[in-house]
Amino acid sequence: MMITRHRVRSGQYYDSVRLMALSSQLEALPGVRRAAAMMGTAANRELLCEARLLAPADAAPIRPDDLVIAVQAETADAAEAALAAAERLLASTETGAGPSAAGAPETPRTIEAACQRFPTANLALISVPGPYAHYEAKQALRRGLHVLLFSDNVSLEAEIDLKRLARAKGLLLMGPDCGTVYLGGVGLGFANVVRRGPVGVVAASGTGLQAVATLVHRAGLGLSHGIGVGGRDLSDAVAGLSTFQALDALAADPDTAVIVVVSKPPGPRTAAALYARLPRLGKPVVACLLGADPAPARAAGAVPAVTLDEAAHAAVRLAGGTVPAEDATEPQPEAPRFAPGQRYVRGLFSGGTLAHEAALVLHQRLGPVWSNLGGDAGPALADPRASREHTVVDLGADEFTRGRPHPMIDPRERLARLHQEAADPSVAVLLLDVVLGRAAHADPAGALAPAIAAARARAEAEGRALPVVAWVCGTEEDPQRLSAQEARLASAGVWCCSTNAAAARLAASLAHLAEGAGRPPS
Amino acid sequence: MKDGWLSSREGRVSEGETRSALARLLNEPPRVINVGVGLFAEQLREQGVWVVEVAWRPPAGGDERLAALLAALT
Repeated sequence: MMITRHRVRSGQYYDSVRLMALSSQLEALPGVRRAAAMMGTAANRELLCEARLLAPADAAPIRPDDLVIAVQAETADAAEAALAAAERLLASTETGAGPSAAGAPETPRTIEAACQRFPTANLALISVPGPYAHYEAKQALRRGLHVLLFSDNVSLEAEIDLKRLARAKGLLLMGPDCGTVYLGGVGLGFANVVRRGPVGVVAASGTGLQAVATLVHRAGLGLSHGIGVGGRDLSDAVAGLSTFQALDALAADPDTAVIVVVSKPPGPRTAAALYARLPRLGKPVVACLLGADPAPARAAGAVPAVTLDEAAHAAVRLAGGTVPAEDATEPQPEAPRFAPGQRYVRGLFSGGTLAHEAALVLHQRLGPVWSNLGGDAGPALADPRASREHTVVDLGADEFTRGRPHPMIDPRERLARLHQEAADPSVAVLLLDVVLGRAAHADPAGALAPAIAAARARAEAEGRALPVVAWVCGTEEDPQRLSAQEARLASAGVWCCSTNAAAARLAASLAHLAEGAGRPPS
Repeated sequence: MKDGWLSSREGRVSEGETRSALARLLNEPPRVINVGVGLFAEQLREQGVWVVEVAWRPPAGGDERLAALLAALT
């Protein structure tokens, strides 16, 4: 018999990363089966009720700015002890949450107050929940701050409103859903540790930028700046408002010798404007518009790149560097012992652009790939929580991140999905990305490896091989260290490739082998 | 505040001023106001970046529709 208890702290806001840490600490306490600490938004109240951590009658009076802590434990004492522990842990984070500026009399509660007290600030990094992001970003722009808008779940109308305001004020709005930015040598958001160098990047997405940054670094060069503009910036609705500002800034920047543009294919009108602008930048340009026809980019004098690694390597060559030889060291797994009926690739990604690139590579080799990626990536899953046939899911998409941290920080969603996919006898191969860097999980491979090993062992016991292929987006200088993470994954039987596209190609080859193995002998 | 571009921040700015504000963003160390996830502020401090955190709470008592209205009206 499990005991469920909860506590509400009125009018106290904590960000989802702190609350995730608190939940994990509570779950580690003796006698505690499950614990959740969440802000009381409608979506979170629903999640807590679904998880049976909260009764609907108890959920009703909770307000969006209330903190809810709910635990399920083996005894009432254990549940109460966990709630008391939560109070203590929150008190300790409260004392550590103040501003870093020495001598600050009191933590500012609004952007306006922060600007008044610290008038030399020039950039707001905003990661509040999406519904509030428009307001906060607008406050920042009005006070003359450039904005890095990390928040997702921001409407298209809000994005256009913010970008028009930013342009009118000569400011840059990076985002929304902008995971990564490099300004000079500083990485903001999810940023790998890479050296400075001559390559400037404008990227619609965080992981597209991280992939190019790490591959340029691994080839011995580095980044001047990396500017994230948000996944919709080159749509015809937004019309590249931030991209064009960023391109002009990099064109004028003396530290940038080569410019890389990474995006999904632009809308037709915006594509025409982009191709018209590229030759006027006066610097070599690499255009990696995943899934787009390369001909117009080439006609515009740019070097088209089909994959992120091609983009990084083209930039390195243009900047006078040398790229690693076509990799003969990619893993060549011997044919796994597939069971009849195993056919499909399931890609579980934390990075949206990495998911998109993998879906394109798989589609080329295997046919339609179901996904939650939208646009030209392939047919859309009716329910992103249920795969069908070949599937690639972006677990960082809006529908997975409401009220909880991004999967690069919080592995729980992916671990649960991994378990689900591994139990499906039609699955032939699992494909993953593992993203390192500052602000990412401290040991993502360590979090994934036991679940992968268990999934593989279970499949093996049921008479089917379950190969797992991954690309680790990182560098040796990242806090998690690339080689250590790859070794940890290898110890769980994962095949690590040198690029995301190579991992997708290997997954496709394994699916072909599985299909061959399942065919009756002719 | 010695930054000249900030004096024009309530009005539209010329193309030259735009370039200068963007050039400053790229060429001067960022001075960051962090609103939201505290981890991002910690990560900037580790890199020696000046950062101040806003003790943010949802506006309008956390009412998302009111917050959207607030953004539209301001």
